Parts: sequence; C-alpha cells; structure tokens
Amino acid sequence: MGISITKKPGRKTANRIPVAEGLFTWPSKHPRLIGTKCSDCGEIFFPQQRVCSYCSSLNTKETLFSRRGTLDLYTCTHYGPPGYAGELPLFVGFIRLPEGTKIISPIQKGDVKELKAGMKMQMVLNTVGTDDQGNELVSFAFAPISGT
Amino acid sequence: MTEAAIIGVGMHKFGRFPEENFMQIAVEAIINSLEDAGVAWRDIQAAYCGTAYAGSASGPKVTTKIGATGIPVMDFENACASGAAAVRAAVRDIHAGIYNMVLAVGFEKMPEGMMASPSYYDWQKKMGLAANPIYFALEAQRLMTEYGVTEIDFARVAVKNHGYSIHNPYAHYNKLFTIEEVLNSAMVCDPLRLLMFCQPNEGASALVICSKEISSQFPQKPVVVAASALSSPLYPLPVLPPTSSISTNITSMHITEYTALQAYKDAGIGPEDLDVIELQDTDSGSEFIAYEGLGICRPGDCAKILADGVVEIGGKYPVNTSGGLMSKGEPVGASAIGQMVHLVHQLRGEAGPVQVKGAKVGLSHVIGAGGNCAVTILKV
Repeated sequence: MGISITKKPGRKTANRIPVAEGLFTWPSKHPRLIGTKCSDCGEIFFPQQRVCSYCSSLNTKETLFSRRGTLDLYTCTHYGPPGYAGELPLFVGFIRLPEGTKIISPIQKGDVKELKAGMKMQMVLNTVGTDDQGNELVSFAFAPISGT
Repeated sequence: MTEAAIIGVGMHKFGRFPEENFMQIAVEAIINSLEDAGVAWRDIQAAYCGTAYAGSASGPKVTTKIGATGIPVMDFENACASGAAAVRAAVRDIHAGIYNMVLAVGFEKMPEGMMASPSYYDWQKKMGLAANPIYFALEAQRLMTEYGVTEIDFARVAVKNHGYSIHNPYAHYNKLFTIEEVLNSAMVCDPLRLLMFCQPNEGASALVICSKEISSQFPQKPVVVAASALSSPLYPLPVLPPTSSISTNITSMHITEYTALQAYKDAGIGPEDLDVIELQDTDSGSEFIAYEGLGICRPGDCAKILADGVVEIGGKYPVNTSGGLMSKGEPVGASAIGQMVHLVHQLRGEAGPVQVKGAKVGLSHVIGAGGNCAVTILKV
C-alpha cells in the first residue's frame, strides 16, 4: 500500500521557484550562481550568455561561481526602484568574486553595524514576492559572513 | 567633402505637458527651427529623428503633421545619445553629398518616476536592481573613495547648473538652490540626493542642417558640425544598466574619453581649444566623470576645477551654461540636440546673460544606458 499524505483542509503549500531560470543552481541547499566562461580568453560573465563579449569566441561554457566574495563599492536605495515590491531601504553593491569578475547584488546587512568595503560576503537566498500562480520567487543576495 | 552647417535651431520647452502628445511637442520645435533658418518644410530632403520612448515610426508620425512629402524619415534610438546619433547620420549624408538640406529633431514624452528602462531584465526589477540611480551612486562612491570627492562637491555641481537655468526659458526648472538646500533634499541612493539628479520629462529640439556651400544665403550665421563621434560600450562593460557583471581582469578607458578622442581628431582640435561645453549631468557624479573623460582636468582633479571656477563663465571651460540636464530635465531623445541648440546660441553670440565671450568652439557630450556615448563638436 502506498503512503497517503493528508493535508489539513484549506492549507496551501507554496512552491518556491527561482526568480529566473539559469541564474543559480536550483533546487539546492547551497546554490551557486551560474555564469559563462570563455575557453579562449578566460573572461567570465553573469548571467550566462552564448558568445564572449571580450573576444567574440563561440567557445564558451557554463561555469559556477564561488559562494564567497568580497564587498566592493555599495550604496543604499531609499526610493522605490521600478518593478520592486520588497523592503526599503535596500543595500546594493558590487561583490568581487575570485573568478575574476564583480557582480551587482542586493546586500542583506543583517546584524552588522556598518558595511565596509573589503568585508567577506557569502551568497544567501531570499524571496522577492510571488508570481501569478502564488509561487514564491527565490532570488539571491550577499550577506557579510558573521564573525568577520 | 562638403561640410555640414546648422542654419536654424528650434525648441519646445522641456517640462511636463499633459495636454500635448509627443507629435505636438515635436512639431513646435521643428516649426521654430524652420522659421529660424528661413527654410520651408518642402525644401527638407530627409529627416533624422531621435527618440527612445515614442514608439515605432514616431519620426514619420511627427513629420506627416507638418507635411506628408514622402521624404525619408529615420528614427534613431541610442538611449541618451539618440539625438546625437540622428545628427551624426544627417551630417554624414550631407558630407557625402547625398542631400544638401535636412532636419534633425529629438523629442520625448517620458513616463513619470524613475526611468523604467526596458533594458533591465525582469529578475533585476524584482530584485530591486532596476534603478538607474543605483549605478550613478556606485560611480559617485568610487569618486569619493578614489579621489576624496565630498557631498559638498556633489552639491556644488547642482548649485552651478541651477544657477544658469534662471536665464534659460526652455529649462523645466528656473530656480536657484543653495548648497544647504541640495544637501537637505531627500537621499535617493547614497551619496546622491534628489537635487543632485536630473528628472526625466518631455520636450523637443530641432536643427536645420545644410551643406556649407549654400549656408551663407540664409539669415543666421552658419555653425559647422566639425565632428560627430558615436560609440557603443567598450569591454569591460561599464557601470551602467543593465550591467550584471564587470570583469576585474581587463580595464579600458572610459567611453567618454574614447569618444572624445575620436571627435577631437575629426575636428582637428584638442580639449584646450574648447570654449563652451554641454555635458551629461544626469547627476553630480556624472558631471565630474565627464570632466575627466573630456580631458578638461587631470584624473582626480574634477572637484578641484569646479571649486576653482574653471568650469564657470569666466573660467577656461564653462560647463552647462544652459543649466544642464539638472535644470532642463532629460527628455531622452531631445537632450543631445537641446545641448546643440544652446551651443549654437553661444557660438552665434546670442546667449545673453550666459554668453561666453568670443565662443568659437562648442562641445556636446551625452552618454546613456550601457555606454552609448556621443561627442559632437560645433565651430564658427
């Protein structure tokens, strides 16, 4: 006999789906950002793209980024960015990744008193609203590694 | 090769005009430019139109409101460089002898609020990354970190540009601001406050351009387009939307410098020959970055030349004597040609209270989303 799973009447389980396909590995407990690496010149891009923007080579392949990076320049948005339904103010900055690129990312400040360039950061997940079907949209951010 | 000369200029005030559609706004600027040139619409052989938001075939929609003559009417969209791209194409056709009398027009009617640029990915919007001010703020942070530029320096840019606007009837805002008022305005994205930004709005600007050979028969002093350079982004991609990653391995010169060098070469001049400059002051940081890119200051000295009066009337390089985008607002398609209209007034000697004495060489600089940059040099 199979196992029957009974749900309490009226209880919904929301699906969690990535805010866009192909940005990071999913489903995963520790997702990694997915980018493209050029096999000819070594340049790296996020998000994925087919052709190398530096040398125009078609010899490109999928690559996974490190989950840890370093905070570069950052700012804090106080006004509603178009299409954003989340909380404000919102910290946004460059995260330098060891692969040789820096990406723009929302930053979760957490308990840290003040963000500082050079801080070690790690990738985290957060939710940025729901879609028309009620699925929770999962996206990425970076947060200071506690204790650093 | 015959040179291209501007013989007529016209504007529709920049601002907000709920009772007018983009066609009405554009028609006013075109009519004014034809009257200034002493040229009839039937004499125009082609039209080059710059707009980013007016939609498909917007140029022809405008020109058929003036005269449905069947001439080629082309739309150019290069974000903030749209109008300059239109002028560049017009000038090249004059140089090649294809036409000898054409119109270049820029027009825009922008939605309210922060620019909802279609060039952002949907996921960037949902994640709060689709705000142009973020990218300008990150550049401003770089100026503070690398050069020690302060919030007072950023405020000074706004005070200078708004200071000139009271003499410009085409500007959206004609109001003086003090440094204190700028520093007390709402913070948008640290360190940039509301009064350190320009506002998107509505407006139009137009130029009648003819071959230099026939220009002397018209009433106005001809202003020659000595260079018209246009660039798309260089690698690594700049801090401008919709950037998501920037290489830390490769560096390149700033796209403004790259474009300006081409323009100086084509015009046979150097930055030291410039008398009056209109540059992209989307925000205070962008004005500082443009000083460096155009070669009017040494790297790191941008705030210093402002504090020293170098970029004011009376200084070596008066910048944004029209009031800049900060006062005029930025109707994207109309802004580059709007700069050129002001430069033409300067070079004709008709700029009144903001006249730069003896101005003979003017430069227009625009730069938009993703690094679309144009530098146009005008000479009498």
